[in-house]
Amino acid sequence: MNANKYANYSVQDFLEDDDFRRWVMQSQKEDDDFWADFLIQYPEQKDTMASARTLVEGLSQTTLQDGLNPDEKQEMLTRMQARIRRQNEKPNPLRIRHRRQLYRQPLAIAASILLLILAGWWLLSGPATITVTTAYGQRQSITLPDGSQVELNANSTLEYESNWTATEDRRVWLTGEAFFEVEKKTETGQKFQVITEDLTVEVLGTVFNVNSRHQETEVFLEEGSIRLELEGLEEKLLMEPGEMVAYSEHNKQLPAKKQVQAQLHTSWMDNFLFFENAPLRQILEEVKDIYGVGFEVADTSHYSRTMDTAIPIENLDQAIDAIGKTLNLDIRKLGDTYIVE
Amino acid sequence: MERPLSETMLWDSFRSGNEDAFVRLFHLYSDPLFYYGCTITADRELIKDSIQELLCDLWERRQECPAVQKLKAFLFTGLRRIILRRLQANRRYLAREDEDAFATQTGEYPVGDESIEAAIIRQETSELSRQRLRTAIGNLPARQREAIHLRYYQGMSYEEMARIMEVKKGTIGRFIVQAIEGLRRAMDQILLFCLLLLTYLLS
Repeated sequence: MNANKYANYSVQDFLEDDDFRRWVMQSQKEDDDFWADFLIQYPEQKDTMASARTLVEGLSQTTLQDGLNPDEKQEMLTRMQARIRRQNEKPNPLRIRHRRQLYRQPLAIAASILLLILAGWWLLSGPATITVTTAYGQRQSITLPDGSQVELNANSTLEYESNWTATEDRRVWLTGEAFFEVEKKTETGQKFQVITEDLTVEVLGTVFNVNSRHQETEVFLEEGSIRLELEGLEEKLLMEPGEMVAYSEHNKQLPAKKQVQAQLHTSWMDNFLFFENAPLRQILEEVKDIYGVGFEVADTSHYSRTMDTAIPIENLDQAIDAIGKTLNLDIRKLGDTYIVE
Repeated sequence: MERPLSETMLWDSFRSGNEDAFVRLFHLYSDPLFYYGCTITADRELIKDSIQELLCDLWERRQECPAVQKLKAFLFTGLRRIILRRLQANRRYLAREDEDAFATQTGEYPVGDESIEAAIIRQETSELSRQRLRTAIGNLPARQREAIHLRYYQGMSYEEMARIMEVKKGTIGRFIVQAIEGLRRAMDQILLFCLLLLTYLLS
């Protein structure tokens, strides 16, 4: 750079000079020295240079309005993304519109009308099936059309029709586990049926638990009386309160009735599963059913160890903790699987 | 030269239909585009809409988009056309007549002497110089304002500016000279006013 060059520079000239602009913008040490020397040499250029400097600094930083704030940017982006996604869904709108006008449109109208008629017919005549499904670690209370109460346990499905008439039998289909409190219908004599893969529970009005996990169905009767129709067997089974029956359609063995403690079979109602002298294998199986997690037991001899315990059904961490503490085992989490040592 | 390289890659990625590239392009250029738009019109919403239109149009016609060397200048050219078209449509709608075609396209930066005074009294001194330069630029004729912004804020060359503003290089030079002259005069006036105000306050 030659200082003489700038002797007669105007503000305009300074502004157009790349070296001058770079010095103002970046302020390099050697540049500072050069311009200091220049001013000693040509003190009369001081004012011009100062004006130019102010303008370069100002212009490089000044905008006419405040910039876009993050909210504005996000909003713009959201709008644009909505537009380009819409665009992606119909890659060539012109051609499609053309065909639609000539040929597709009457067909579409006819289809819509047909759909409306079908929907109307279905609403007026056909009973809708209601399906209630619970996820792992989730429970749900259901009130059936006749006022009967169902507590659906985790990882279970209950299906029933939406409109129950005053004469037909009441039917629900169950996969998983549920607790029933059935409204009595003594005047009409309507039966209440719980249907699982293995059997049908038939009742007049009563309180009972049905569990259809593990390739068999367990029925526990708390009060009232029920009759079981076992899948693949002619014989029907009458149950008394406090009795428990387990049946699988695979082996078709006429089950024995067992007297059991109510708490063990309906304990999940109170958000806990109670176990009495139960082997670890069974407990882990239950936890798996409710929470959908897997277990790996390094030493298989642990499987047969038994314990009395209460396991929460809506808190997996506490459940794992309870098992580990009771049997003095170390249980670690690895992805979706728990390693038991 | 890492920046031009990544810019080219970003643009190629955009053209091949990568939605991430779309988002990155927006984040990279939304500020420069917006600030440039401010030199053409003061209508903030119109600028925002125009930026959206520009990027979406490019995205929808990405197969026809050329490979470009100067992406920023390319985007500016597109934004300028969209903003002017929209202003033109507004003007037709408002049926407003004006001798200077560009003056009406500018949108309004209505800063009379009174509002400068008001602004100066309200602003703190540190804020003052930025504010007064902003005011002075706002009062420049539209084309000069645009040229000065492209040159000194966006750091563009005369060639790029000529292409964006669709005029000859020589015309750009004239705009710049006139703009700086105008700014200096305006700044001097404001400085004088500040001096008078100060004298008045101290007396």
